[in-house]
Amino acid sequence: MRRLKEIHKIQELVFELKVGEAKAEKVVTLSPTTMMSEVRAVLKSNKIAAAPVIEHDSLIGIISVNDYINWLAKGDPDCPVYEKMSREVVFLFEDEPVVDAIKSFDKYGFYEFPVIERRSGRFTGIITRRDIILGLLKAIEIDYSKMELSSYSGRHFFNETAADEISLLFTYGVEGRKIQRGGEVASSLKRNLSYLGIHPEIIRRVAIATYEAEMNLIIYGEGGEIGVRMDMERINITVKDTGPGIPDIQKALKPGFSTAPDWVRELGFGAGMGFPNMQSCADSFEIHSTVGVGTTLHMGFPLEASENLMECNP
Amino acid sequence: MRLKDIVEALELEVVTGAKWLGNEVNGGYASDLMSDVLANSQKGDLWVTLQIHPNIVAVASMRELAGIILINGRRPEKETEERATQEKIPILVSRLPAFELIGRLYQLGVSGMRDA
Amino acid sequence: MNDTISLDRRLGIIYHSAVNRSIYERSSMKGSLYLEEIVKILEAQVLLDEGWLRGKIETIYCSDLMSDILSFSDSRSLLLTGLINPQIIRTAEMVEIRVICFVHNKLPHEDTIELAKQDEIVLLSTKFSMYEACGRLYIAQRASNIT
Repeated sequence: MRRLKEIHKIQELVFELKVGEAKAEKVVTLSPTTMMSEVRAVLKSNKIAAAPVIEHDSLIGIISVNDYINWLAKGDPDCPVYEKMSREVVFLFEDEPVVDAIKSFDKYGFYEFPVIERRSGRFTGIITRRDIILGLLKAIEIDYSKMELSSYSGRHFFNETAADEISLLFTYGVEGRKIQRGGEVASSLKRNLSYLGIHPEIIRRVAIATYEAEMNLIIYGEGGEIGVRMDMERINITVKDTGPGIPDIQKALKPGFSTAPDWVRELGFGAGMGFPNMQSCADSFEIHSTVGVGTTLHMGFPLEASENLMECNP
Repeated sequence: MRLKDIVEALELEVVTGAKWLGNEVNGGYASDLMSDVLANSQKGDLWVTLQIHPNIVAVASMRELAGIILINGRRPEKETEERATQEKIPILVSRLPAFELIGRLYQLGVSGMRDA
Repeated sequence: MNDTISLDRRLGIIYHSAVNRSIYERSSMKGSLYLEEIVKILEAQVLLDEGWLRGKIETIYCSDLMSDILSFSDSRSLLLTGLINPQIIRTAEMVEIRVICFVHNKLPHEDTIELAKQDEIVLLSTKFSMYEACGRLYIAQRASNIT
């Protein structure tokens, strides 16, 4: 199904991409006073079949290989191109869609067309079939990445559901010490968020932060609860435990600080990057803890991916 | 190959152990798991790791390793540095990630092959 | 309307070559390796093949620290690790790593393999140490000339 959507996108591009966007700007032109005898060299060395004749930024005619051959065949004396050029030039406007250019190529059989800016009448470049292909390829690449961004919309679910206010709440229980089950919650959440059509980069951040929090609950917190609340703007995650609590929060937040016992380190954990990772993934991060009572964490993430969404690099 | 040559060739930062850069390096070992290093490293190995806690010094000392290289620009904990000075274990730092650093060490001729 | 139909077909071909072209450009710059080549270089045992063996690997990561692995961002990557507990699969899953190679002849636990099956992650095992495996792959990557 995605394939079909993509092909239709390309069809649309042909109508959306403008001649002005695809054209080549640095082009070879002739002045009206250029002599016919020079034309051959110009066309040959630039490997073009025709060159527009320009005076003061205005297109006044066009000289093609055919015009040159005719002049040569007749044996007329050398003269400025002004006298031999075709004055009836088929051109395209900057703002026309490339589909018109394509139709014109087919209709007239020319290899290229001069491009004119509609209002001022200025000559601004030339468009060839190759330019159109390159322009479309570029547009596809840009569009493709935009498509990726827009096909994920957290709002999608909320928009389809009618209510004055909507919020989704997922609650997960985490058992203490059951290290082999570590990551189950993060994994579940990851899946749920992808069903809801949340942008992959947001899911990634949420998953990483939740995973770290989950492991903390298992290793240190003696188990606890993870609550995920989603509304139209944000994903809010609350992690609660009734474990030993953290005596020095500032210290605990420092990268590398860890109270992990050896057996935990042997499993690859305990590097002391849990909190710092959570902080770099979440937009907002709050931690409250009381020794002997427990710890509560609040993390907030955006629901939508913005254009300048940075990758979470814990 | 001496540790000194490697430090120069890879532009490593010497955090501690400048006096012992004359150590002979027999091979390379990479792991972040203490049990692994204890079980499989060999005397004279240059150890590449991310771990910065003081246990790394104990392990390196026990196995008589040539030195420790921390990657990703990681700095050792204060206690780690102190212990390393005591135990005469050079600690070096590279800004490169593990794979890159190991690759370059390998290219210099520091091998990871063990005698069976 | 005839014009439009033939245009679609032509554009269909253009689309394909555009996509293929950019993948080619990316990989030839980074010196990527085919997974099959990597298996040969590492003399690796294939523990779980998810039909990925034809794939191309752009980046090679090595680590035994979960939080370090969580910072890896290239999904066309292979992870070399000594960790064989099930969390390694969870961690890899968080960052979309699809291929894990255990080093030093380490073999993963039963539940690790089970989890990998669920997440469709390829599992390999090599006799080489982390250091040696990295070294060999590094050399191969630099020599790689994928066209």
